[in-house]
Amino acid sequence: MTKKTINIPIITRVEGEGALDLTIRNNVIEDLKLKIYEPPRLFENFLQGRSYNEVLDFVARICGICPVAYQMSAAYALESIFNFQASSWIRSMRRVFYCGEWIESHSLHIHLLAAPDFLGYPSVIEMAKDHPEIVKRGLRLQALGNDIIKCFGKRSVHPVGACVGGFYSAPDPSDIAALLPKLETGLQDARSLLAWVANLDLPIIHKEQDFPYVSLQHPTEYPINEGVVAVNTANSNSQNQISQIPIHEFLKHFAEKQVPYSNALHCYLQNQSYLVGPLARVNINFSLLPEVIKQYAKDLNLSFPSRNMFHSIIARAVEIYFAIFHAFSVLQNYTYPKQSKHDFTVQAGVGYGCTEAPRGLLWHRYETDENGTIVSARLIPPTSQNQARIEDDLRYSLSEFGLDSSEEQIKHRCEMLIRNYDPCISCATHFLKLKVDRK
Amino acid sequence: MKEIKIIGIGSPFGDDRLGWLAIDMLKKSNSKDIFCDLIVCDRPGMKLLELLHDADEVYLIDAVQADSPVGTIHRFTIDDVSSSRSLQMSSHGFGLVEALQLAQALENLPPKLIIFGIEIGSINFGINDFIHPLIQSALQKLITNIPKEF
Repeated sequence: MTKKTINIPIITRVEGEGALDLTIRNNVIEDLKLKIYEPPRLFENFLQGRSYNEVLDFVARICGICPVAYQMSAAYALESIFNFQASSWIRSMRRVFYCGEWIESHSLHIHLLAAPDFLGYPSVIEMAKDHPEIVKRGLRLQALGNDIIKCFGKRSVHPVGACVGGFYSAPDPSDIAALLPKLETGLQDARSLLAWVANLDLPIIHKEQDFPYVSLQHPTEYPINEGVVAVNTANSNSQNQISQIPIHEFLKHFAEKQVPYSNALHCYLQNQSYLVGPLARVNINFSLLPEVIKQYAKDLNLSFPSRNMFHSIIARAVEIYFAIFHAFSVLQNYTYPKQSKHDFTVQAGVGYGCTEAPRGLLWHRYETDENGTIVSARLIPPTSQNQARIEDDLRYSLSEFGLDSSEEQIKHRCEMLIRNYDPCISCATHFLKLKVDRK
Repeated sequence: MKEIKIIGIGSPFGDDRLGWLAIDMLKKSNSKDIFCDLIVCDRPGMKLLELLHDADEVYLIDAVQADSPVGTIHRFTIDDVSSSRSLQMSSHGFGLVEALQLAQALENLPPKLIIFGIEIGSINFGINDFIHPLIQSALQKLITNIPKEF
């Protein structure tokens, strides 16, 4: 009887900090635990007693990589309580603002975190010595994403431009004009990136896992800020079917559960682990991408839907192309608005916001009193939602990979599998229920 | 005329603000010897690479923990950081060392690059106006001597 225990104390090249414990007995996985040990963030509690107009600045600090996502989910949730109807300018500019974040986050992940895996380098620094143009393209794209965010948020780290009701001020037309040539170069970069990613030597999966995937869905657009929650499950004939859940009914179908070994909560869809993120989004919404992008993907022999998690890098590259294309087409027709924000009625109530962060669905629920003070807040980030799926994936994929592989090979495979999900661990540890037993 | 940049790197937490304080002090010093761009950055990570462009000389000022007495001023060149290896590489933790190593790999370094690290000892995460007196005097010494580098 042989038992080996592999411990990866700090998983490299994911956001925040995490660890994995794996016990293999007689070539079967006996136990697997993905541990998050970044200090838990108590944001849901911090927000209680705060005014509604402080919420966006607070939640922007939950994540350095996706502050826009937190601000948008919060804004939509609070505005739904306050009877706010966004003007078409605000609605449109919020989509562009968010595109900046997708571009920046996805570029960073593809080049700094994931690509070294697929090209066999220990880090981007070694990769850059042999492939400087690839890395420079990635940094250019990341800078473009940051420039878009800065246009609306006034700075890219903890942006301050967005507010409940719109934006504090509108970008000057000259700032937008300065962005247009960068977006044009970005389009070329995005196309060449997608072609490069399509030709990467990605692991082939012999039998796809069966799991539901979840994203927003909207009748007329590739979803960012608005839509219903769409769940795709394969039915008994292996055909994909989609069920739709209004965002205010999220908790009737999805449940969070604390696990003893991790600070982050696990999330289940009727007791099943599920996937959120770019692969889920592209799988569900491919038909709503611009024709030129769909055609280009087809020319590159890319096909969706896919349940091969290694195709996540392709989904991210597709979304970079979409985000630049969308931002460019909107901003080419930019007009300076009469008002960058509108009035709303502060009142008591409960509201929901559900937007697509770079890493997946980000769901917020707030209750306010008659002064707009936060009575309670519930924030469900994408990385929590993926935690259970990551563990199930590891169990399945490592068995398929071969548990008799060397410890070094298993370690590396685990890290690659986890990195497919681009887990943003610092977002996922925002909540901890404390029970004190005084004896 | 040489393009010179002095970049103060920091975060809002206690003594880790010292890079920002250095820039503040340089701006207020009104010295005729300071004829360069003075820039502050909050945890820039990879964004530092953009700032290294278009300069003949770049001086970075940051807090360090090097097991030296608090207030020690370390002067590093790129050769000193080339061989350094951080424990983990995450984009939240993409620090100064990783950013400079990447710039070096991409041959994106300015002709002259000096990193001044001032020892802060343990990190005080308090957000307040207090700065350790030994660090304060190290900053004063540093900004007096920096023009001698140009």
